[in-house]
Amino acid sequence: MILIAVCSAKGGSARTTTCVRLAQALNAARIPTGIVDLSPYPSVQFMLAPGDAIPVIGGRAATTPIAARSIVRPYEERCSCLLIDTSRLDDPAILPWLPLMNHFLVTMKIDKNSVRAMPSIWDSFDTWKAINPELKFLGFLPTCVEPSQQAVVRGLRNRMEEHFLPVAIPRNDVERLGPELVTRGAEWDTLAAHLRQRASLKQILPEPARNTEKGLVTRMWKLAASVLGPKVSVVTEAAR
Amino acid sequence: MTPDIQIVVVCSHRGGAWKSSVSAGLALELARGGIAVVIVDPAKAGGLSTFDSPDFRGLSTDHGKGRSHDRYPLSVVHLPEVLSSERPGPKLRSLAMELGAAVVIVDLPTAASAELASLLRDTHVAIATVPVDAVSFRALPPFLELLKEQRTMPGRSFAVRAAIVGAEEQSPRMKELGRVIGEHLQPILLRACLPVDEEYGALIASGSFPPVQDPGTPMALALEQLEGEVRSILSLHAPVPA
Repeated sequence: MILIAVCSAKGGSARTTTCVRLAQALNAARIPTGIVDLSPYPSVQFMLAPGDAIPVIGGRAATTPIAARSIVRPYEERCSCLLIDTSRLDDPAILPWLPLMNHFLVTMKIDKNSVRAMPSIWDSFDTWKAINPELKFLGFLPTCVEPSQQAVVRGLRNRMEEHFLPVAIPRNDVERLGPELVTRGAEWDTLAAHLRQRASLKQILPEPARNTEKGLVTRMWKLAASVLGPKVSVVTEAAR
Repeated sequence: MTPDIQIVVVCSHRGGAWKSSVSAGLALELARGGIAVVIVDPAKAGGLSTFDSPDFRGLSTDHGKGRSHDRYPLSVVHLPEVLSSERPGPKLRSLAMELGAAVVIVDLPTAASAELASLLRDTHVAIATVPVDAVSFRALPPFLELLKEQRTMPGRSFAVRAAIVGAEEQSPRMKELGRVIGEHLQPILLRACLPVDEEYGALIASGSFPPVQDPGTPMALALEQLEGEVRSILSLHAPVPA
């Protein structure tokens, strides 16, 4: 099981939205994914759609890495990935989870304040690396991007391509109207596909059932044949 | 408790709930009215202390020592260590005394209950900013419960007020949600409701906070009203000019 922390230097950077949408996209890509909620005031469960089979795990109770491991152990069979919805960077609640994390990504809004806060990410990363030398930075994920900011995103990406994830999440995808009014944008699926490669995430859900439409047609022809007689049976055979 | 130094904590249960914007706007309004204010920014990443605007540029330092504004009695201090302190109140008051401030505004990051609780021991007013969205509304009760619980603990006498952010948006659904949230918060609701319009959002996105507050704009009016309400709760009086 791979643990990916979703962090940000500033509030309102669509961290929880990223966890939820990315988990939905990973599950759709047959990578069963759960969410560990480290927020002091949990809100992940309020963003899930009714049909989402995404386990949400409260993580703030863990005070040691052993406790953190015992919290996620029951999910090792069910999930090949857990996304950790962190709180602020210096939140002590992150510490027990650090030895368990494999990767982290950083959501950031495209504004001067967020760009200025970037050094604090590196400061925290240095501290985290001291605790977990295997921890890998996946990249910055621009979020809440207005159409007029696409050029800024391109500029940042040109300068620091290796530090940026290959998608930018538009403002429309993180509308603050509740989960029932928001459909998942294509960017999340692109991001899921990218992370599947980068973080070596395993697909373990079964292939979805195929040819269901053809099966339905065949069943309908059989039903018609049983009701209308042999002429229809001939047509049914021909249809096959 | 030193009576002449008052501590205001701006907090929220959600990220991006305009805590820094409300802290900065309120501080600027108080300072324009002649009340000396220090804003303490305990976020490690420095939320408010990274604002770039004519009013805030260069005010913050990373060494816990604020510098006064050239026009208003206002300082911004980046002080991450205050959150790890068991009782931040005395530290905040001595900082205010050092800077000659009468009011300390703490722009509290979406913090754990323990940190909020330790701050509330010496707080006079806690302002909860509540954005108008469905997730915020659903996640609100535990946060209000925490504030209520802290308020009833012995030795605490802070007032709790809630400021709604974004109810002025035009979508009928949002307006309805804003009305429902407002009703829910009624006993502690501030009349000042901070508008979030596209123009203002664009100004913040460009790092120009606080934007030019032309008299009569919805934001200027909301901040004026907020300042009036907070001033009244704190019974603050601007010094009489010499």
